[in-house]
Amino acid sequence: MIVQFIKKQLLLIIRNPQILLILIGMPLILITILGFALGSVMNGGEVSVKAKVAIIEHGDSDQELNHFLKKLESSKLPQEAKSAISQSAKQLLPVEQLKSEVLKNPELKKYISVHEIEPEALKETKDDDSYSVIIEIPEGFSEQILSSMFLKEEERPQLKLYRNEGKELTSNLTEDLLTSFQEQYSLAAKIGESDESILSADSMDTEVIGKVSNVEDREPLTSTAYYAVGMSVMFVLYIASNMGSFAYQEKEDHVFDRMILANVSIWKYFTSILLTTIILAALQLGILFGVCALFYGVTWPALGSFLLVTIALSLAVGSIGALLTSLNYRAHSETFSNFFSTVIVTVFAFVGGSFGEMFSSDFIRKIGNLTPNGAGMTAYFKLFQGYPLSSVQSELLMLVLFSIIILILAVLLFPKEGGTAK
Amino acid sequence: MKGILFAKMKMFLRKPWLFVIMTAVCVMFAFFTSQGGVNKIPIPYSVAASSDQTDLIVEELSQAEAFHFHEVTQDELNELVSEGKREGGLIIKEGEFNIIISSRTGTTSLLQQVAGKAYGEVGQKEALKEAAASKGIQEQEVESWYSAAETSPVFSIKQTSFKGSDTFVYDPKLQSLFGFSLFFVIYTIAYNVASILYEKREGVWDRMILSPIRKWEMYAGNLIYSFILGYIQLALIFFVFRYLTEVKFYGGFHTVLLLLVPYVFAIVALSMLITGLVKKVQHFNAVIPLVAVSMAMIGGAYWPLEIVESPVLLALSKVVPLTYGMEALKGATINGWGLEQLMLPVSVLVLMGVLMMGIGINFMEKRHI
Repeated sequence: MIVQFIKKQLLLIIRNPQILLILIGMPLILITILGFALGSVMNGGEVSVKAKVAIIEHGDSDQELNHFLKKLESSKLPQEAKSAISQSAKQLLPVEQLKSEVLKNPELKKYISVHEIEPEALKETKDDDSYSVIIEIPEGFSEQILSSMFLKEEERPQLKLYRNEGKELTSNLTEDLLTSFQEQYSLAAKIGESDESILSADSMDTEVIGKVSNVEDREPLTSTAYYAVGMSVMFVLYIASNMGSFAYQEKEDHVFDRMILANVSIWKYFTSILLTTIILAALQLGILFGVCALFYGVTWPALGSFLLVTIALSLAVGSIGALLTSLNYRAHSETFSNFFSTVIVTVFAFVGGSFGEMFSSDFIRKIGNLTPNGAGMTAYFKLFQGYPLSSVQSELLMLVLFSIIILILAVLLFPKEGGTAK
Repeated sequence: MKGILFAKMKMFLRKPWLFVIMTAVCVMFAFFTSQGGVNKIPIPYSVAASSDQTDLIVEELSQAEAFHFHEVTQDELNELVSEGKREGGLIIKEGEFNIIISSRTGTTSLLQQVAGKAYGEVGQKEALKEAAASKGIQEQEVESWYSAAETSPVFSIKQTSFKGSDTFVYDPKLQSLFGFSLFFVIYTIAYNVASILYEKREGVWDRMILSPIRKWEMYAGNLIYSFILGYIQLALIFFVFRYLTEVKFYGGFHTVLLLLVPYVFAIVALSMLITGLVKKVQHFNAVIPLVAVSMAMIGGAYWPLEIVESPVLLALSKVVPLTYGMEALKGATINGWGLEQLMLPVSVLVLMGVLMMGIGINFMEKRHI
C-alpha cells in the first residue's frame, strides 16, 4: 500500500516538471556561476590583496643630501665626526631606504606594486581609484631627517599618507609596512646615538622558521566544491517545503478525506509523505553532486561515507517535510510551507554557512552546526578532504537526532481524523 | 477599485502576522549580518608551548591591521580550517610558526608575511638586547630606545583619505540593510500579487468579472495593494534603522525613500510576470523562493557586487532588478550621487517594470484557468 502511495507522490512531482526543473536547474546554475565568479573572493584571491602604491617625491634626495653635507661642513663639529656622519648619512637616506627596503622588497612584490608619480599628477592619482595609498614625501624631507638625527635640529618632517577609502584591506597593509618602517628607522637612529657598533647587520636579521601545511596534509577544497556543497545542502531544503504544499493540496482537493473514507490508515499516508520526501531529497543531492562530479571534477574520496551523509541529510529533510505537512494540515493553509521556504531556509543557509562564513562569532557557528544544512555541509567538507567516516560521527548523530525530534513533532501534530477541511 | 483595496486592507488586518514576522526577521538579519567586521580576516591561532617570546609575538600579532587573531585550541583550529570556516590558522611555537590551511590562497602568503614580521620584530629585540648586554648596556636602556622610537619618531606620518572617482566604498551596515530589505520585500510583494491566483481558484475573480467593476480596476486594485504593502514594509524597516540604530544614511534618507518607489514597482511587475507564467499556486510558491534567492545572489544583496570580478556574473546581474535597486540606494547614500546619476538605475527599473507588467498581464489574460 505504501509503495502505491509513494508512486502516486512521485508521479505528482513528475507531472509538475517545472518545479523539478527549477529544483535541480537553479542550484546547478548557481554553483556554476558562484564557483567561478566568487572563487577568488571566497579564497581571498590574489587580486584582493594587491596594493597599488603611488609615491610622490617633491624633493630630490641627492640634492638634499648635498644640502645636508654643506650644513654639516659649516657646523662646529670636529672633523672626524663630520666624515663619519657624512659616511652614515649617505647610507641612511630615508627615502632610498623606504623604497629599497620596504616597498620594493622582493618578498613583498606579490602584494605591492610601486609607481613613482610626478608631483603635478597628485590630483589625477587621487581620482584614479586603482591606487590603495599615495605616499607624499614633502620637499626637504631627507634633509630634515638627517639634520634632526645628526645635528640635533628640532624640526621633524612629516610624511603624508593618503588612504583610499574603498580599499581598506590593502591600505591597512601598506600602513602596517610604513609604520613599521617608521619604527625601525627611528630605532636605528636612536641606537646610532648611543653606540654605532651594536647595529650590525647580523643582529638585525633573525632567522624565523615558518612553514605552511595543509590540515593534516589533506587535499584543499576548490571553490566549486565549496559552492557545490553549500548550494546543494541549501536547495535540498526546498524539497521539504514543496512536499508540504503538495500534501496540503491533497487535503484541499479532498483526496485526504477520501482516503480516510476508504479506510486507509492515515499513518500510511503520513509515512508515504515522509518516504517520498526522503527519496526526492536523496535524488536531488545525488543528481547535483553527480553533475558536479561529471562536469566540474568535484569527486568524492569515499563514496560509502558520502552516501551515508546524504541519507542522513535526506532523513532530516524528510522529517521537515512531514512536519510542514502536519503544520499545513493544522493551519488549513500553506503558510507554514511558505514561511519555511522564504524565511527559515534563508536563516538556515546563512547561519549554516552556505554562502561562506558571514559571521565571525563562535556562537553563531555552533548554532549553524545544529541546522541540518550546516551539519551536512560540515560533514561533506570533512569527507571531501579525505577524513574517515569516524570523524563525521558527531554530524551524523546530529542529523539523526534532528530528524527524530522533528519527526516526533510531526507525528504529534498530524491531525488524527479527517473531515475538517474547510 | 476602492472596494478591492478596502477588502484587501480588511483581510490584511485580520492576518497581519506574517507581514510583521517578515519585517522583524528582515530587521534582525540586516542587524546581525552588519555586525561582523569584513575588513579584517579572522584567523585562529594556537600557542603550542607558551613562553615569554610567544606572549610577545601574540601581542605583536594583535596589532596587525589586516587580520584579526583569536585564540583557540589546536583541535578547534584544525576543525575550523578543515571545515572551511577560516582561511587559515596559525600555530605559534618558540622560534617557529606553522600555518595550517585547507586551500592555498592569497591570504596564505599574506599571513606568512605578517607572522614572519611579528617573529622578526620580537627576535630582533632579543638579539639587540643580547648585543647590548655584551657591550655592557642595560636592558632598560634598550627598552627606552624602543619607547623613544615609538613616542618620538624621526618623522611623523599624517593620514588623510581620498576617494577615487568611482571607488567602491564598503559600508557593511548599509550593504546588509539594503540587501536584506530589498530581498525580503520580494516575498511580501510576490505573495500578495499571487493572491490573484487564489482568487481565480476560489472563483472570486470570476465573480468580480461579472460585477460592474472593470478589468483594469481589478488588476490595479491588486497591484496597488501589493505595492503599498511592500513599500510600507521597506519604509518601516528603514525607519527602524534610521531612528533606533546608528546606521548613517549619509543625508540621503529622503532620497532613499523616494528611490524605493521604482524598485517596489519593478518587483510588483516581476511578481505579475511570474504569476502570468505559472499554472498553479503551488508552482508559484515553489518558484518564488528560488527566484528570489538567486536574484539576491546575482544582484548583490548578500554580498556587494563590487567584489565580484567575473564578467559572466556581472553580465547576468544586469537583467536582475535587484541590482539596480541596490545601485540606486547605494548611489544615493554611500556614493553621494546626484540626480543625473540616479536617473540611470531608476529608468532601468521603470522600464523593466513596464515590460514585465505588460508581458505578465498579457499572459494572464490569454489563459483561462
